[in-house]
Amino acid sequence: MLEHSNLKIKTITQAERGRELLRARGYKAYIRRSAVTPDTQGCGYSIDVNCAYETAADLLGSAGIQVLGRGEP
Amino acid sequence: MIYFDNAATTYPKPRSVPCAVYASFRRYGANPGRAGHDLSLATAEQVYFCRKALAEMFGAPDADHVVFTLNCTYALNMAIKGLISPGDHVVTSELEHNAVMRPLEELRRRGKITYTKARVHIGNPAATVAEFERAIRPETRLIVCTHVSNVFGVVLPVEQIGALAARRGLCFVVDCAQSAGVLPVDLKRLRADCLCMPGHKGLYGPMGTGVLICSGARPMRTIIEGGTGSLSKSLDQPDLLPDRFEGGTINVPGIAGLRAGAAFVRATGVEEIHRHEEAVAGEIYAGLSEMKGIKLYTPAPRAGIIAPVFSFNVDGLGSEQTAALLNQAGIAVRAGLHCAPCAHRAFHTLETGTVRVSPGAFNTQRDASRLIKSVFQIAKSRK
Repeated sequence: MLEHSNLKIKTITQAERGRELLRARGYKAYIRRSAVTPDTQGCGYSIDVNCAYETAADLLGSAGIQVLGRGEP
Repeated sequence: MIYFDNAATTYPKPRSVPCAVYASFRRYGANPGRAGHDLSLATAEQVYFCRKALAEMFGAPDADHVVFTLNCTYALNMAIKGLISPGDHVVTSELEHNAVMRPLEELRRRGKITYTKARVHIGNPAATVAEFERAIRPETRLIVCTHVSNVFGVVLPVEQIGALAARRGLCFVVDCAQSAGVLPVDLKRLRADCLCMPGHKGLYGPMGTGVLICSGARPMRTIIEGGTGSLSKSLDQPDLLPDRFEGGTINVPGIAGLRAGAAFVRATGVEEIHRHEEAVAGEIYAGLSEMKGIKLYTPAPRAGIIAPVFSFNVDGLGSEQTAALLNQAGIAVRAGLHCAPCAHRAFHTLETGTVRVSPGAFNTQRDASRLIKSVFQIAKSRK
């Protein structure tokens, strides 16, 4: 079964960069607005991607993109 | 009109630029980085593409390090005021535009900083760098200087000055207003903390756009705080680039146009643009230098020494009068002090100003011939 995950990102620019990186690796990645919840720092964006969270987070982290945590896919 | 005022803003723009601006109004009219709807995300993507293109053009680590500003002056203010602290000393050059000098002077007047203007030796990079080094004090924190004088076209040895700043542990900010898109400019190669440039000159974008490229190596204070669409529970301005320096809505139509302008520059080639402008400027310079009653202030435009911008005066005529007569002949130049009184002081033209000629990518040899002929007529009529 294909994995899907959602990664919370701080800024739209980092989300754009992250999406580009994931797509370059062959994943399907889409940006959406993150939900504001009591444990978030407010508004932000997240990336939906068809791979494991850890895989995506490692890839983005290696490119200097801060992943805030896992969101709802 | 024959337009030789490209140092003020480039004209005309490539056709792709107004087309991109119009398209942004039609297709990307939402506020980027604020909402989650498709139109906002699509607009954000267009903005990102422009950041990415500029990051590649100027050697930024990535798109995050490209900040959009209103113009080069805003970028310089952000860089200068972001990097220095009270009690600091700043070294700059004697040829700076008021976009550098006025922030420095205002800070000096308020007792926050001191600054020293280093002399520039045309065609002698080692001597110029030595002047900068001589100006450094224990409390020096920043070197900020222009890459190219907007009045006299003098090219400063910014790579060597950047090396000096790095050796001495100083911040380094470069005013690329006259060099971005015309000369090679690379953040890493210059070892700069910040490159500041207008979008509307050598990058052929619309007025109302500027770019601040940050290395991110040093923390920078903000001078404007506001909404960024990110981390919005906090009342603190985000510490992440580019949001940290982009409080408020950015100029999306302008950025769309800037992206198209930058694409034009990349497609044409910076070297080719420089070669072309130097040829046109060189022809004008040669024509004027053969005329009696014309005063020129620098050697002819030549790679690495004088960029394709130069000044002249007609003996016995005020610079504004010459410009007015050229305007009547259908030729646009700028006269006066060009917002650079320090440069004029260095060249002893503060009391007269000069007539500045600054060709662009769309000027032709025929334009050059027309200008030469018109100046000849003006000079002849003075005898």
